[in-house]
Formats: sequence, C-alpha cells, structure tokens
Amino acid sequence: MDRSLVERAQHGDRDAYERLARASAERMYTVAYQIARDHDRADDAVQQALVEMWRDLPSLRDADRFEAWTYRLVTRACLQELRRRRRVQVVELSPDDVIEQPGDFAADAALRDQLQHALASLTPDHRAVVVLRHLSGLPLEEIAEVLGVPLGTVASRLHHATRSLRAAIDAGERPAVIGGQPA
Amino acid sequence: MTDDLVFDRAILEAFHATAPTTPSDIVDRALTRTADVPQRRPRLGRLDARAWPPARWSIGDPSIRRNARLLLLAAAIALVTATAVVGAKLLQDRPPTPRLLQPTTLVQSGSLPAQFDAPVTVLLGDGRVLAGGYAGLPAIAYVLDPVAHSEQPIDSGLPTVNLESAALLPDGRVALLGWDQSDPSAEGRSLLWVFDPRTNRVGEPVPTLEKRFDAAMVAVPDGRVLITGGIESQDPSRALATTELFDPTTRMLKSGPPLTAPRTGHIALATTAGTVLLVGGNDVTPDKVGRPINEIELFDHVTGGSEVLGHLGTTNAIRSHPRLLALADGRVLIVDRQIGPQLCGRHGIDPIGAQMFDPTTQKLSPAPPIPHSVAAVVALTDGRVLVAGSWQALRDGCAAGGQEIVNGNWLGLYDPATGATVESTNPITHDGALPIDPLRPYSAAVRLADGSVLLFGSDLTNGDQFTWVDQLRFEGGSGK
Repeated sequence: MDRSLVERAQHGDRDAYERLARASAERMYTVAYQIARDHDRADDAVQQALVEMWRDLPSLRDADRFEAWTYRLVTRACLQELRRRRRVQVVELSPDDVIEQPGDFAADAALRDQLQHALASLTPDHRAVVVLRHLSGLPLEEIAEVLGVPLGTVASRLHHATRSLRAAIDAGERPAVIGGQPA
Repeated sequence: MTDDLVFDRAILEAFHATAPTTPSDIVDRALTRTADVPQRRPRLGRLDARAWPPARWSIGDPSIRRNARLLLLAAAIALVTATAVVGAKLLQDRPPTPRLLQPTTLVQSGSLPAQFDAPVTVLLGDGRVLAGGYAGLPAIAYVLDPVAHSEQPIDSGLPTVNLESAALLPDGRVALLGWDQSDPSAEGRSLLWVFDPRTNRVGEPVPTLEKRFDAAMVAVPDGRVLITGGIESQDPSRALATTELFDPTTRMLKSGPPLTAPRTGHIALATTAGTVLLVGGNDVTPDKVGRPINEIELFDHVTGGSEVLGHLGTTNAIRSHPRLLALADGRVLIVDRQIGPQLCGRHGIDPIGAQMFDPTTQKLSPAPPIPHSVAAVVALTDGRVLVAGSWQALRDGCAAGGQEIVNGNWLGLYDPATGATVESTNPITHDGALPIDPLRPYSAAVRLADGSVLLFGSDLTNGDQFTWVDQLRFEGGSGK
C-alpha cells in the first residue's frame, strides 16, 4: 500500500481514503465472510470497519502497517457483529450431494463439505485465527497483534482449530457411509 | 494423518470454493456514511486506546517528541508534589533510633528427636518452625511449636530420608529438597516435597531431573524454586553445573540455565533484585577434588547470566560453609567459612572476614570482621546480627607451652555497621556478658515473631540422638 496515500488519509484527505477503501474492500470482505459465513453479517462488518478506518486513521502509528491494521479493524468488527447478533448458524448440506458423485470428484466434494462443516462448527474466535493464518497468510505474531491477544492464545486457538479440521479431513478420506454400511 | 501440505491446500481450497462476491456498492455506502463523520485526533501523542500498533516507547517517535514538553512538565509537577508529600510524611513518621536489644535469658526450649549436624530451619507463617537435616528417618523434617514446646514429625512416606534444603514459598507453603536413601537402587535419589503448614503434610514427592546430593535450593521472586549444583550421588564423582526450576503450582520441574562452573555443598540466597547469590561449596570433579570454591557469584536464573563479584577470604576449609544473611534493608551479609581449630589463636580469637552485598549497586564492600568462627547467623530487630559458633584454643597459648585445650562456644551480637560485638563469656578470659551454656554449641538459628531467637545444636562427639533447641530472649526494642 502506498505509504503517502495512508498519510494523506490520516490528515483528512477523503480522496486518499476512498482509494484506500476501494483497494482494501474485497480483501476485507473475503475475510469477513469467511469468519462470519454470512453475507449480511460480512457486509455489516466491512461497513463498520470502513467507517472506523476513516475515523481512526490518525491513531495508526505506522503507515506501513496499514494493511495489518485493516485486518484488525475488519476482524474485530466481524467478531463484534457475531457477538451482537448471536444466533445459531446452520450449514445446509445434503448427504446425497456427497455420495452420489462418482470417482475423485466425489471424494473431493466430500472432503470440501466435511471441511465446510468443520469450519462452520468452529467458534468465531477460532475461525478468525484459521482465516487470518490460512487465507490471509499472516504470521502468528501478526495475528496476535491483529486480534489483540497474546501469542500463546493464538497458537492455542490454531492448534485446537487445526485438530478439528484435520479430523474432518481424515473423516473425508474414509469411505462414505450409507445407512451404517460402507458405500 | 493428513500431512501438512495436503492440509494447508485443503483449507485454502475450501476457502476458495466459497469465495464471496464483494458487493459493488460497499465502498460507496461507506463513503456516504463517513461523509459527516469527523476523524478522531489523538490528544496526547497518539497515546489513546485506539492507537495501533501498541506504543513502543522510542524517543525517535515523532508523536512522542511532539508531546515531550507536556510530558516533562507533567512529570516535573508530579515529582515536586510527591517529594513534598513524602518528605513531610517522613519527617512526621521518622522512626526513633532503634533501641538495642538486651538479652535476658537463654532457656532450654525443647529438642528434636534426631541429631542434626547443621539443621535446616524455616520460620512458618503461623509462628512455628520447620527444622530438619541429615538423620535418615521417615520424617523429612519436624515442626516445632515454640509456645507449646512440642514437635511434630512430617512423614515423608519413605523409610529413610534426609532434608537438604528448604525454601519458604509466597503462599506460606515450604518446598523441601531431600535425599532418599531408601531408593531400591541403593544409589539414592533426590526428591522434592511441598509442605503445607495448614495440613501439616507433604504432597507426593517429585524426583528432580538429575540426582542432586548436597545441592542448594532457593525460592526466587517469580514464585518458582531454583535448585543449583550438587553431586549426582553420595559418592562424590561428578559435581553438577546444572540447575532446575520447580513450579510448586504445577509441580513441574524444568531445566534452568547452567552455572558457570560445578558447585556442590554451597549456599544460595535470593536478593531483592531478583538475582541469586551463590557462595561457597566445593568442586569434586576428578582434577579438582577438594578445591574449595571461593568465588562469590551473582546468578540470574532468567537470563542465565552470571558474574563473579568477589571472593571469600579463606581458602583452606573445605567442609565448612560460609554464611549468607539477608538484612532488613535488602543488603546481604556474607560471612567467611568457619576456620578449623586454631589452637594458638589468642583465647580463641581468630577473626572471620565478612563482606556486604548491596543489591542496588550490585557490588560487594568490606564489612567489619567477626571475632570468632561462625556457624549460625540471624538478623535481630535492632539491626544487629546474632552470631553463634565455637572454637578451640590452648588455655596458655602455644608460646607458653600450654597443653590444656579449651572448647569455647560463643554467641555474639554483631553490628554490621561498626563491627562492635557483644560476646558471651570467654572461658579463658572470663570477658563477655551474654548468657551461654559452655557445653551447648549452636549450628543454626531462627528468629521468631516475638523477636526472640531459637538456637539449634548438638554434640556430634557424644552420640546423642537428639538436637537441642534453646531460646534466647531479649528485652527492649521489639524483642521479648
């Protein structure tokens, strides 16, 4: 990200802010959606994050850390959104979609679905760590800064989330089961 | 189990498979919403809760520089105000010069049912005293009640154990480092117990990572216990330069940073600066057998750093220990090793060197010498130090060809500032006024909550199977 653009926005330049927002919106929305797994919530979270971006830009100490800061804004907005409108999230997945497709494609689809189930079943805090690590590629130290939690907490959350996801993958690699019998 | 690469790829594919389409108007809506929103300007050098990343205090930070004047002004006002308030308070509350304690009586207070050469003693929070040593009994130590004049054994659950070291923990419990001779391998092993005064019991023992005979243990400020050096068995074949850290909460041990050199039979004391003083001991490695270690070492168990501050003054007494004593002001009195019998010494007067460690400056400075060998030291409430020990001398001195050997046990009230020492009666010169039983030497001491001192001793030559416990009482000051 252009450092001068960030510094201009920090001093109230709205054109600079608009360019920053357009350059960041897709990345922020992808992260928000993968954490929230819901378009409405992701939209609300990004809106909130973009407003905070404008309002709090002067509080950003280091313009070179702008991108990491936007991860912080959108992740925190997303988690706040999920806590504010807490409700049970149901992931629709028909067993027929998994077992009726032949060959490797069916196996891949089954694996993906198992993973989607597993991702959906993680808590938002755990899912945020997985998204920032695997989708955004942030190192653990940066994730700790973004989330405002100790490094050990990040490592612990990632460990537990990874264990759940690995279990899902391992289950996906086993033969699908229909009516209690191997397919 | 899925390997890492497959796992990472699967997760990424799962994200990509559900990649969302970003609403095209999402930025436009945000622009509309922020049209009337003012930016929040940090008021004081961006030192507000929203600032990110968290402040790393650097003079190069322009926001810090910009507000340096304000910060300095605020600090100056705070300093002047605090100085005025504290100064006034100190003038108002300045304690009177402490009145020196006057020893009144030395009474027999009880005994321990085992003979301990140099007992390990700890004053418990409830006023009782834990004491133990090398006795090879099922009891790892005893708890003395100086008011009821009773003692209670602390059962180790093992047939033959010895107490090597004890450390009072911040929560009032006591970590005990012992040597178990009842180990089936017959080699012995070192074990850690945690004694809880509320239940008068120890928990299950925890074996140390390495066998450590004659190691030193000390509680460090972070709540853990540091165990240093020792030898790997009672057969002195290899001294250890390793350390271990014991967490009494989790009952877990882990290796600590190494010492600069092997050390066994030494003593350790935690300073108020968080570091640990290591003094004395021997090196028993084959090429250095019997070499007394005279380096006074300051060890940092967190960083592993170590610094030799100075040396003990005597070099010839391998088996005797120097003494460390924490004074009320945080300084540490270091007393040289006991010297062996100096029969030609004039009336048993063979001054022992002393030094003072100041944790503020991290430096040693000379302290006035002490008149005789010292086996026990304890700080008194008037700032002086009670010292106890013993000596031997020819009644008429070597020059006069005297043959009569006089055993002189002694007590002294030593002032570490001036060296002035009030002594017990010298059996040759009959000088001195402190009460003492000439047949009862002392090797350990502990100050009780009422200011009096319990003294522990035994006569190793007569086969007694007990350790006597005497109480020296005072009047004046806060001692009774």
